[in-house]
Amino acid sequence: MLRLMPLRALALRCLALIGVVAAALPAAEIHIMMVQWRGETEAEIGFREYLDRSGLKLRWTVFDCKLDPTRGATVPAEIAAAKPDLVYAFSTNGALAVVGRHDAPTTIDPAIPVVFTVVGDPVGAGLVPTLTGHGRNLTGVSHLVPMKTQLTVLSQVATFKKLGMIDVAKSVSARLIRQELETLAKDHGYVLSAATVTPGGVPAEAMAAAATELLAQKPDAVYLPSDGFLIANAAAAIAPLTAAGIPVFSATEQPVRKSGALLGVVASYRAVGRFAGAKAERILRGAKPGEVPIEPLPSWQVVYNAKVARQVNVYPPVGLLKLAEAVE
Amino acid sequence: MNLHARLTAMAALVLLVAVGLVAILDVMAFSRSYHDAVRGRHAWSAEELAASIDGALALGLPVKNATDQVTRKQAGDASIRWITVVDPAGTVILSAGPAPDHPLAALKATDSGTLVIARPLAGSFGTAESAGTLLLAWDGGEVTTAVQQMALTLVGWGLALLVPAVALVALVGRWLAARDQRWLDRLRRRITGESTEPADRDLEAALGGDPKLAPAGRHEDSSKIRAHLLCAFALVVALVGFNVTAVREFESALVPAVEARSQAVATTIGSTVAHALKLGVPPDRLRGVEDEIRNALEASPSLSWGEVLVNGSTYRAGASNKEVRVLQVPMSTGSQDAATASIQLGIRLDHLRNTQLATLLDLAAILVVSLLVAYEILNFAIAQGVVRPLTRLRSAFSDAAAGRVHKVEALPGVVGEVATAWNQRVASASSHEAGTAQISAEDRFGKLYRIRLPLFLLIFAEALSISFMPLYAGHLLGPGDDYWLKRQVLVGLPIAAFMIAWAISQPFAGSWSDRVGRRRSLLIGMGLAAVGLLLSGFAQTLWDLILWRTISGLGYGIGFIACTAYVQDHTTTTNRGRGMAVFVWAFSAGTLCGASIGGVVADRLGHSQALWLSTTLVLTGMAAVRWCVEEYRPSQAREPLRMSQIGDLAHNHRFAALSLFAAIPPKFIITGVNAFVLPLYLTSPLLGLSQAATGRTLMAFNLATIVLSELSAPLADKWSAHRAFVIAGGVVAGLALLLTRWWEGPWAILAVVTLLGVANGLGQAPLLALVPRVCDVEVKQMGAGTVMGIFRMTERIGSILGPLAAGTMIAVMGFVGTLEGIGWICLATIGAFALMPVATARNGAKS
Repeated sequence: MLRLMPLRALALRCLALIGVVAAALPAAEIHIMMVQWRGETEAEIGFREYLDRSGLKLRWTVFDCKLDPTRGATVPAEIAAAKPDLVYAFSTNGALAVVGRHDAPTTIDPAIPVVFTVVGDPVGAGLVPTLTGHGRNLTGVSHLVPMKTQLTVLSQVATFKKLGMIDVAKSVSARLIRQELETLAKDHGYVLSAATVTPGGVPAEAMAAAATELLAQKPDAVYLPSDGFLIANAAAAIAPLTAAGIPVFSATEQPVRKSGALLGVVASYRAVGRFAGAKAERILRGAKPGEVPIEPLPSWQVVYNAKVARQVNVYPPVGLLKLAEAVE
Repeated sequence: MNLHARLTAMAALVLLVAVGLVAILDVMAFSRSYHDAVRGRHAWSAEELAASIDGALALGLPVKNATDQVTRKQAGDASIRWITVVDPAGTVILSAGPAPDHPLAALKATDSGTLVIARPLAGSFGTAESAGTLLLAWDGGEVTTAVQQMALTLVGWGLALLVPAVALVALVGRWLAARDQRWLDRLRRRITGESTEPADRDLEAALGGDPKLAPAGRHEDSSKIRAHLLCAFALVVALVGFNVTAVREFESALVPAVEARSQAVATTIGSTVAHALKLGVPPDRLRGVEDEIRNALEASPSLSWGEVLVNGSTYRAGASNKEVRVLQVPMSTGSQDAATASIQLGIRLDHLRNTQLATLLDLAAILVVSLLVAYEILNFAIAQGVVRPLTRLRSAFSDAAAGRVHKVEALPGVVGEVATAWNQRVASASSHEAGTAQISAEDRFGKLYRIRLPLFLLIFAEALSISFMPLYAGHLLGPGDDYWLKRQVLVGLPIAAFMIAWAISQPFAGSWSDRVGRRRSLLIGMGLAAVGLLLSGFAQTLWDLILWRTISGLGYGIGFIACTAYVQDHTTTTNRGRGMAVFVWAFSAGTLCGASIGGVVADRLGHSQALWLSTTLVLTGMAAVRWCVEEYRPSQAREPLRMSQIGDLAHNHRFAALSLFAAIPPKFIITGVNAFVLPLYLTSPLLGLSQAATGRTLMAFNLATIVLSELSAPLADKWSAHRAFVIAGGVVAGLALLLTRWWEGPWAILAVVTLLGVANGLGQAPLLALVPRVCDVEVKQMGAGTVMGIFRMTERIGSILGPLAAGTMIAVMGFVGTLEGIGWICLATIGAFALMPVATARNGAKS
């Protein structure tokens, strides 16, 4: 199905184009409202980059929740005031702030289409009951690589009997990943041990505390799930782990690129944003969001931090290095 | 033109043809080997990339992740034009280099010199479907350049050998011709009365002198042998010299091409390791290097082991007990931590030697083919150019001695001067009784050599076209076409149609040939064969190919039977064995030549072009018939073939016994054992020979037949022991097949094949000579062609039964059991034949 995407997208785009000409839609400015969760990320850059080249006449409004759930609660009111033609929502928290769970929707006008990015598990998060035939005016792109794939690659990099994980209190996406890691533990031959951080207070201190908690449990490796708070403050937890010679894997790319995690099997946020941009364009050109599938990115990559590898003295096999993107 | 110039020109021509032929075939063989070597290198690259993508897919990573790797590979080898990966729908997933929009279409296009290798990708884990195909396009220019260079080198060597060879012929030929000249001068002076010195016994007898005063023997016989020896010597020296050079040139060009592949393997392993080192992995902490080496070795049968040395650390994979030559490639790591890094690969010596041996044997086969072709042309040329005019003179002398004085037709050159002198003498001496030319038995026999070249070319063309016919049929059928019959059966249909048309047309063709004459029926048969071959090359579907093959088969039936009957017409019971040996010789030599070079010719020229080459061969044969064969029509006009005639023959129990017990078993062996059991057995895992090696092993059959038939047939005639030779042939064949009881393996099979060829050489010509003897009455009633046609059709029952029975026997008894079983059948039938009183003519009549 994934492989057929480009063809189908092309065909639909052509159809949409014919629709535009036939209906002679007014070439008015399209207003897109961008709901960010933790400021601008590569995903927003990719989304804008794609749409800016689409030839559509666009106007942008940005609302940043700044990692604050209370700010998030004001999002439906902000949308009602701005009356955008399409809403962009970043991350599970952002998307939930915009549309709410399918069984507890927000007050947003259901006529406004919503496109989300960087939602690990749209069904698990309750955005939609099922990926297809959900009936909501909603589509988007998942940024997570299937956990099985991640574990297959990670087990090539290091042998782990005990896998540590940093959980984030009240984070839907972290909870979902924890559940999945627990489910797969038996098959992949590891025991999961988690330390939970609670956002609030000084983030770096909370993270360092979690690291200390994990160190006491002596894990062979540590996994960082996809969560905005965790990604933003990863370095504080990674540094002591790395110093103790424990490799840290990440579900997202930024901790590898910027915060000292060893390796991640990840989807690039920029590519995720661009793919979401493609979906938004189809909607703006006449497709119904229900017809535009919710799906993960069709390509992902292995990002590897060579400097960290030397620090923890853990090296992936040469065959994997051949395929990986190395950063220092 | 004097005799010397004539002989030199003829020899030069034969040498030119032979060296040209050997050079063309050598270049073709080189082109194939070189192409295979270069393709092997690229196929390895494709395999390595695809295996790495398969590995990524198995990890769950998408194909696109390999983009960098593919780009590096394409940039690293100048002759790789582009590499793409397409999904099962044909859409490009990733691409490096200037790939076309629809790369799958490039697989079929062959015009641009871009050759494409396709390697399907295994599905990712959890999905059974294919993940797509990796396509690697490489530039055929590298091969073309190497082949052109080789062609130039060989042309140079060819000329370098040709010039001294021709010079040798000219020099020695001058001396030979001077001898002939002196003899002819003596004849002329004796005829005109300028001298009384006796020059020739026949002439003395004709002139009324005492023959005993003349030197014994016939001058032209020794002259012919000397000319033959001289030309053959020059031929062998030139061709063997040429091929020895070619072997040396081939090796110096092929070895680097084969080694380039090992270099590519080393470079790939090296770049993977260097990449890891560049990322700061310490030399002693590299992981998975052994896996990389193992993957590389798996796709490279020529390598035994591989080793990566970085500083003090060694990473090694593969077997170590093989005899190897070590290829050491330094590795540039770009890392200061790994100052000394290199890769060592163990290239298997047995693999290298096998490659060299295959080249050597390929060239040896080409040498044999070229020698046979040259020998055929030489024979034809000497018979036409040297012997024929002298035989004319000789006939006039011996006729005159017998009281039938007649003139000789105008002859060219110095022989012509003697002829003129003779004619003047005949005209002036009215006292002699006038007579007409009478053709002696030996003279008639000499005419057989005129049909030998056309027959050789006809069979050559047939064997050439049959060698790749199943491939061609499969190509026309297309990969996806499915009918109610299995593919293997369908691709066999063109050959089957050809064989059936050939078999069934023979009795009718024989009877028809009796009425219209041998030359005419031969020309028409060859014409049909040529038309069929020509149109086969233009075939669009399997079905019209079957039609063209049927026409061809019809032509072959007509031509073949005309030749057999022609031999019978021109021989008597005293020399029929030798006559049929001429026939068997041409047939075996043609089969050998066609089968040996068919593969390489079709591979290099293309199937259609190879068929047109066959057409040209047949047309050349037709030209030889048109200008050199005289019409012969059996005296009585006969009616067309009636079915009852077949019945009449079947009632002749001696004919029935001959067909059933002596004729059908050899044909059964040829199609059942040589063309069916042995190829399967030799290529089976039991013996594990390659296709080429199998082909070379089977060549031994025709080679042995060629050598034996010319040696044994004159003895059979001399002792009038045709029947004994047929029995001996059957016994040798039967015992040969039993040999596998005690001795197994490829060499045993080579011995079996050789012995079967010996048996064929012993028995085949005497068997054919027996036919008119056991059917003396029928030959008179129905005509020689008709009888031969019916006989030839009957023996084909063996050809049809062969594969069918052998296939069943293999299923039941296995290979060795089948060979043994057929051996016993052979011994039983030949025993039955020995017990029947077949060879005594009914009323002592001699045909």
